[in-house]
Amino acid sequence: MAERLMGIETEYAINGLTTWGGTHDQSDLLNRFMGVARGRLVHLPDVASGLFLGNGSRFYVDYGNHPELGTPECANPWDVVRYILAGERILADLATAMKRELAEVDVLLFKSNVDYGEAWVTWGCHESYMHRAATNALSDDIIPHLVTRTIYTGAGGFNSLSRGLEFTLSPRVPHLANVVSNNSTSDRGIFHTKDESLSKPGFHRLHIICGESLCSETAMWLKVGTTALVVAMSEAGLRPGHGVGLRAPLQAMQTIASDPSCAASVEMSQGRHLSAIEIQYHYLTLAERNLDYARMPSWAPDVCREWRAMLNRLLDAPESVATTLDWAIKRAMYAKYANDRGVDWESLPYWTYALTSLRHAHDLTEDYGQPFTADFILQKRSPISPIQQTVQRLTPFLAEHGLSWDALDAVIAVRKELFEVDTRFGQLGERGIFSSLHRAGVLTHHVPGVESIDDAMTRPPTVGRARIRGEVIRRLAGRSGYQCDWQGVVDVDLKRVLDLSEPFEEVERWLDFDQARRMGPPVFADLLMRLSAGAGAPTWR
Amino acid sequence: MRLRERSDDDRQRDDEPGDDSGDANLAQMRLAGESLLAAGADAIQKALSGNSESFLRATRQQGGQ
Repeated sequence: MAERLMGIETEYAINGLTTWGGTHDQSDLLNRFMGVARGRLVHLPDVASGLFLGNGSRFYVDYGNHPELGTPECANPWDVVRYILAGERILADLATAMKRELAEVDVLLFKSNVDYGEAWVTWGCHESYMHRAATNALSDDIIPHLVTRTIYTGAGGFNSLSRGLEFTLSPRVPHLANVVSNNSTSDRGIFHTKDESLSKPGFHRLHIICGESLCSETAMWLKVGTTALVVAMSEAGLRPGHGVGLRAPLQAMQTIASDPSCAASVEMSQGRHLSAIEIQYHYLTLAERNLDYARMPSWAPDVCREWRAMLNRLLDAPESVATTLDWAIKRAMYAKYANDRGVDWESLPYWTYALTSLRHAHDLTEDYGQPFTADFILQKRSPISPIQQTVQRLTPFLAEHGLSWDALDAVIAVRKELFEVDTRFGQLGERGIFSSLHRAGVLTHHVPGVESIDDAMTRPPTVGRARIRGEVIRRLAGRSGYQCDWQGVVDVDLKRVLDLSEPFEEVERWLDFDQARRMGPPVFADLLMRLSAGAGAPTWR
Repeated sequence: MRLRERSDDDRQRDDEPGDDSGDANLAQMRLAGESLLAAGADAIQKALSGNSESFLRATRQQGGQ
């Protein structure tokens, strides 16, 4: 029997760029994209407008008009990574197939965590961990882990809310507003209180929304592996967060995300200071001491070994992760790009201060609608112009740091270019920058055991209810009268439900509607209520 | 609590006098870094649209959760 189950939902950005330089209507693009998916993928419809696929995953359009893929429930971190990668191959294939639908449109899919087009938005990569722990203990146990794991789980990129150019280990962090929150579209928290188990009573689902979509297999694998172990330790009552409670978790996360050296220390509840690496060693050491504990999964020793190796690298030779972790790969490349374009990477904090001040002044003038260019900013103006005054005020500041306004044009250009580069880093398909680096053989991110991706595109995991879901979908796909959800498949015509409310279900077990109803509202009420709200759906009575 | 406890600590071995493995690792790391930067520069050049402002405007989205 599988010891733990976990999965990932990833939100992808999609765009249709026309050959004449325009943008295809987003709603139409998504409708066509889903239409192509329905025509090509082995699936059963879900209770809304999405699909459950033959590999047990769910593909749908979510809040914000973007495609989203939820992996099947997986029993180990290798499978989680496999099914993420399989899902991305599925999406990339669909984008290619769209060429037949819209020949004049180039369909692009991005695994990007933030938008750099001044929309100030973020995309989520949500993690789900099945558990049985009490929620109030879980938050204390896991928050220090979520804050400090950033040193190896950060996607890297830029603060999209900044008017300058601020590299961060985690571009998601500026979009977090609380330590604990039940919201996922605004005022997001480090710890999300949502506890929708999608299983029968007795099971909970920890839903983590502060993480990011990643390209590195190592980073993805460590993210889910280490977090699953912390959940397991919490479930076992080992209180893994004891002694490493943070005085101000949100500020600590901002500090850690701003520090590529991974050496910054943050204040603990008791007043002492520890670095992210030290806090991670605390969790790791506790896991290593409890490997034999019944709640720990069989793969815990593998995770602990790689976890320790990663922390040792970050401590002893941080430069060695530059070919392994997303943020470190990006930082090395982006620094070179900026330097090659004549903008000293180390000068960016000063330029960020200057750009922020100038933007503020620009917004105060009646010319706030004018493009923010060096020519516009530096043109001769009245001495009382806010822009002119800001330029005068900043001139000695820049000179003090060996900088001058001569570089402003390059700085503004590099800012936009690096925003495009960061968006294209996670572009799906062969044109993505990460994909190019992988093919060039210059990365060391692959996790042995994450293999057979093509197989995972069509086949479900071998354990847990996802296996049964996938097998049933593969058998019934194309037939009408079936609708699927995480905890069941409804056969509308025969008025029966495939019961998948047990996460570790091993047998295909169909219940008639009366039997399903007797299982009580927590199990099938949501599924059947949603079905009864749809056209042609069965009445639940 | 032993925060820096390391069961497979190899740092000490690397620091032993007369041991060349530290230098070899460093050289290997440097080579890997140079390869990454060269491949990265090439990949960026191929990926950039030539008009980043227009690209960012065209790909502006509603985001998600």
